[in-house]
Amino acid sequence: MNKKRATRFLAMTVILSMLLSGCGAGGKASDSSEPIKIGVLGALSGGSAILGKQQQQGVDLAVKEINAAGGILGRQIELSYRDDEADPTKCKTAAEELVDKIGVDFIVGPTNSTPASATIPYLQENKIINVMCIASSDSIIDAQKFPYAFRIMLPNGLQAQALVMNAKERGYQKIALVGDNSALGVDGTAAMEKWCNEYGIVPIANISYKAEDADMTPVAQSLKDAGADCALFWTLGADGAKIVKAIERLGYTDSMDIYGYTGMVMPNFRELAGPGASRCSSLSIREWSVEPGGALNGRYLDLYNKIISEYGEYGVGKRDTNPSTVASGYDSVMLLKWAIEKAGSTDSDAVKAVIEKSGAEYVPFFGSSYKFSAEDHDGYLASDAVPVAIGEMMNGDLYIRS
Amino acid sequence: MQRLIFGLANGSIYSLMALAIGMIYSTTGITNFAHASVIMLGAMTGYWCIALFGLPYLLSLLIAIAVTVASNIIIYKLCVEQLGDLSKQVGWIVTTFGASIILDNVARMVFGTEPQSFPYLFEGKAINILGANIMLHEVMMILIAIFIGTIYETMMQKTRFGRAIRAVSFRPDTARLMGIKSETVILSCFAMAGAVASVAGVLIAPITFASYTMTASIGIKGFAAALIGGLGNSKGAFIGGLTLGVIEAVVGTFVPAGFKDAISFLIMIIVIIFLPGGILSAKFFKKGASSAEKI
Amino acid sequence: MQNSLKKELPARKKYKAAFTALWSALLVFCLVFPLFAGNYYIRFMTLIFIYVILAVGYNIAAGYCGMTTFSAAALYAAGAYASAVAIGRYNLPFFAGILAAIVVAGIVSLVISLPAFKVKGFYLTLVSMGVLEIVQRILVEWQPVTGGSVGLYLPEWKMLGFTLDKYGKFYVILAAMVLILIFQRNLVKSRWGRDFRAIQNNEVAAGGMGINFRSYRMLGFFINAAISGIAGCLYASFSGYLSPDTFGFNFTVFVLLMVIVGGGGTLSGPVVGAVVATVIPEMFNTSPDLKQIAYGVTLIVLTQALPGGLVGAVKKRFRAIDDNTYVTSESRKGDFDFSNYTVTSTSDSNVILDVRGLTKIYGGLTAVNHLDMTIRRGSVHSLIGPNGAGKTTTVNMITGIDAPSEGSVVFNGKSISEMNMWELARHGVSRTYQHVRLFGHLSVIENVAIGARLSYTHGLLGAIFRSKRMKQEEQASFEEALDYLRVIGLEDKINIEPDNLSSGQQKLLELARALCMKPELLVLDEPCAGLTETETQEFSDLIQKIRNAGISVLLIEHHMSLVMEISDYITVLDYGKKIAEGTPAEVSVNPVVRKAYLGEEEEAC
Repeated sequence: MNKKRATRFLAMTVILSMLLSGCGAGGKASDSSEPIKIGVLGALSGGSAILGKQQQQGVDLAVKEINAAGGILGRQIELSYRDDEADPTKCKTAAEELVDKIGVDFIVGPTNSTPASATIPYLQENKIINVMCIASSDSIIDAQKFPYAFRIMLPNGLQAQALVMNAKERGYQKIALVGDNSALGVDGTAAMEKWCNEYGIVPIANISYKAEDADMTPVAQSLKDAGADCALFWTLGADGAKIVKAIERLGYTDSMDIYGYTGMVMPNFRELAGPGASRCSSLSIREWSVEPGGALNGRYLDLYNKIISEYGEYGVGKRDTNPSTVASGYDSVMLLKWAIEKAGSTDSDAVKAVIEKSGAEYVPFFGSSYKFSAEDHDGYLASDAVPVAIGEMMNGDLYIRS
Repeated sequence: MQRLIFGLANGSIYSLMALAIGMIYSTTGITNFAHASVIMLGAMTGYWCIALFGLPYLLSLLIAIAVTVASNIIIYKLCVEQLGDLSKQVGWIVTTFGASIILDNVARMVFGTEPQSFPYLFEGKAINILGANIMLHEVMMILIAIFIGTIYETMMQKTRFGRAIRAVSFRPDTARLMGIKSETVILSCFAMAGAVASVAGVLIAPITFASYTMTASIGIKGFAAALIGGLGNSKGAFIGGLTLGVIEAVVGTFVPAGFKDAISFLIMIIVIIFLPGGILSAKFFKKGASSAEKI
Repeated sequence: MQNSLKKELPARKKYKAAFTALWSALLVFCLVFPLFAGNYYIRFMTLIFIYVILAVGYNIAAGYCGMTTFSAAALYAAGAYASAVAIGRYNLPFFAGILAAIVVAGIVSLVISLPAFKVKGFYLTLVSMGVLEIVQRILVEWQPVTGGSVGLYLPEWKMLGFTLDKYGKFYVILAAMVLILIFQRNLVKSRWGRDFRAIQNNEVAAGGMGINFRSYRMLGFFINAAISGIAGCLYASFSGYLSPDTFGFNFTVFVLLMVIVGGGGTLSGPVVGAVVATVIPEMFNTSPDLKQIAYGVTLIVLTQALPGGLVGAVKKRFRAIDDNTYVTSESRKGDFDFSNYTVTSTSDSNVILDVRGLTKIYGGLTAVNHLDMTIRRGSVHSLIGPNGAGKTTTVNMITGIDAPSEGSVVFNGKSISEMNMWELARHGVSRTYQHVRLFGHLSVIENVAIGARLSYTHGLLGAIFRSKRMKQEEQASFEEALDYLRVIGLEDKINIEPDNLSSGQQKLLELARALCMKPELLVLDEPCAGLTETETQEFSDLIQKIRNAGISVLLIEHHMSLVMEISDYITVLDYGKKIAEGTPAEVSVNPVVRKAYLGEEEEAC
């Protein structure tokens, strides 16, 4: 190699190495005057964007309040949002950025189950606590395998149990299961099947469809052909509404009741599903539903009013988010705040221990009480869920118990 | 019977999509990947006019048409015009895809994420034909699609402008020499495609619900319909669209719904293998037509 | 032979040295990167390496071979899942996983390219989209094997007994990427690269060179699939978790994008494109809305601002780096000498081509009507007639571009009417075209050298590993090509692109290309159209030389003086029918002929 080429070579290597200095590792902030960094993972664009938006509204509201009141342990909270587009690879990369590059102390989210599956093992390796308030798959919470992951949402298994239990108690004879073929629907339908088994019910039909398909008539037709008197829906709101409409077209509405899991609720379900919505019920956390003619009370009402004043009333061209889901995002941060303060530090093991041992002492804004323990990182019991009619919403966005 | 009508109704939307795709393809040789997003834009604009501003249906439709015509022209100007000779490169795939990303995300940011209900024509009244519950809206979909197709075909065959379009699609350079401004012709085709997009959007929105993802599943079917019928061929667009709609309806009755799309695609691939020019290129339809005819 | 190469290639060597230094520096950078960078960046870079591999695979099929498909995600998924199942479920070693990935991805590619055998362009696009949908469906529904939509976890990545940590993964994937880049380079710089580009530039002419473009396309696509499958396998073991969501249409467009932004049909395009397409969105991570909009805007702006991609734009300034490495304008004359050349034949019959009852009917139009024509070996046989008489159609049938409706064509005693273009090339028929069909992305000398491809014996492996035989054969064909270029006077233009030649020079180039195939029968379709008198005379001299070398010539021409001067025999067509034939003297006084040409005696072009 002659001199000229060698110099050029060296120069380029030096320049490129200087770029490397920008690629240094981030680290956790442990200095007490430094902010507490919380990363938020969720779908902010694409088909699941509503989930990320709801989580974000709740988190923002909580952090705004906390920081205004002096922060946690005298430290302000610094938020970092990352859009995972509900894609497992992007979620993992985003998580890596949050943990390695930015050095977050805690994470809220992800909002979707498959990105969570891809990311949670990595979070355990790095001992980062993440609190999930929307993703409901059973496989992402496991106190042994994923010691630092917690959830404050009704998991699929519990919801399935609640739905099946409810159907049995009401004495239906011909119960059909309906679910889409995404990870969500497959997981949920499997859970429902399992609980049917437990309760000695044989479903007369197990119908699947492709999410967001425009034509749901085959599903409705299958239900009608099977002569179902009750259908358990593991469907997202829009799809559920289409199926209900299709059932109405076939004139089968009055012959069947529908019970869906929490993913099916959306504030304008009635509008989309048509009159058939009056035969639909879903589940809600008890505290975020109202008796017919009643109202929210206590801290839930306060939070609801806060949501309205921060993000506006529900309606076209205004807020389109579900307040109970926003509340769950809010509560994720509040739970962390309480646990950090009780532990007296942001050390993951300490905070984890607090949640496991004393979780029941925390006063939630989403449910009435969480039942965390060293064996169970899911906050809810089946009894926390109540059936709610979704044909009509109070104020446009609150569930009425059925 | 009901399935059939529903299939035809869906098919008529695919036909409208295929027609619009064909309009652009015949004069430029490309397909506008942003077309599905433009349809969504038309539907969302219509929705906002009706729900937010309380405007009457027809006025909302006209406003939606204005918006989509404008956006198609903008897409042309920003994403296609600069590329020059389109037959020699595939950059348009990327630029039109980029346009669709922008449209989808802007729609999400402006219109929100939740699907909204969209009013049916005739307030969703249904009538009973041969024992099947058929919505007037669906019948209108088929009729409107046929109507638009007929107008387009008549325009193509009988008017000067139509001849200009055919000239440009066949030999753009020669057309230019003959004094036809191919730029204007292409621009008009984009505009027309935009107008058709709004109509299609407004018609299908009650079924798919109006949201920024409403055309996600049907977008590709428009392309499929265009190919089944023969790209650029307006009669073919209709045959292709209606055929696809009927195939879907039929397949949907005895196949688990999750497979419906995959099977429809499979059928489409098989059709293309045997009839690369689309169904209408089959000898049965030929009857001595010259193979040089594109429209 | 290669004595003076070093001193006399300043531009190419200079650029090559500079770029080699650049790439070496980058390689060193990658090698030392993990020592400085944090965990996040190490993983980020590793992902970029995987994307580079994907982009290279797609580049080979789409950038070089012209197959723009929309199934990148399906091939990636096939590789990822195949290896995941092999490694995870059957506990096979990692290398078995790679093999499984290649096989399964290859099968998917065949499923796409077999129907595309007949179809191309849009149809290929749609078929590939359809297959993508079907593959996703399979991934979701075939739960026992793929884990369905819930996803599939993989065990830790073990290779040769070692469990790979993040550093191990980084270096293994870096090594794979480097190997595949080398593979790409060797493939592109070999005759395979030329053949692929020829197919992309001008399929018909490529066929005429003996390239079976259908199988070549399938091969190109298979290579794409194999490479994408490898990328998928690496990704699966790297990430430890797979779910169908990752492998959708959006990802396919991302792959397309990397190649287009970087520059399709270039060697470094995939690398640049992968880096740009991953890094730029990264910078917008903090504002997700802006990120999406910026992504869309980048797609629109970048594609238009830089049509050849980033690398394409840079290359314009360093054009000489693509110069061929075998000969220069000043290279010593090789062993081949056209003036001493004689053609050998498989048959010694007097008749080289016998056409009987040849007919072509299009719809209601009979273009060629029961034509009988006999061409004697070693003669110049002209086919003349007014415009639209069916001359080109006849010649297209003889050269395999169209199939006859009726009749037979017998060449050297063998019936060739059923053969397609590339088979005919192997039998000793080559041609030029009425509208010049040169390969735009190949240089002038490559356009000629490609004609020698019929005599190559080295195979794909030889090309990849740059065997001695490959180098020898390439060297020989380039030297021969240079000699042909000397004959036609283009020896000082060997490395430029054919578009920069005058139309007369282009026609000569096409002739040189056809000659390089060492045909027995050379078919020339209006070679003098648009040429000046001087150029026409040059052509005439050339045709004489060609005939003297023993090559039979079938000539379509309108230049009556040329035809009369050099033809041994003439067939006259009018409205698809033969109306006269004979020697020039006989034909020129034939009243039927004069009537057909009524007032059009000296047809100027």
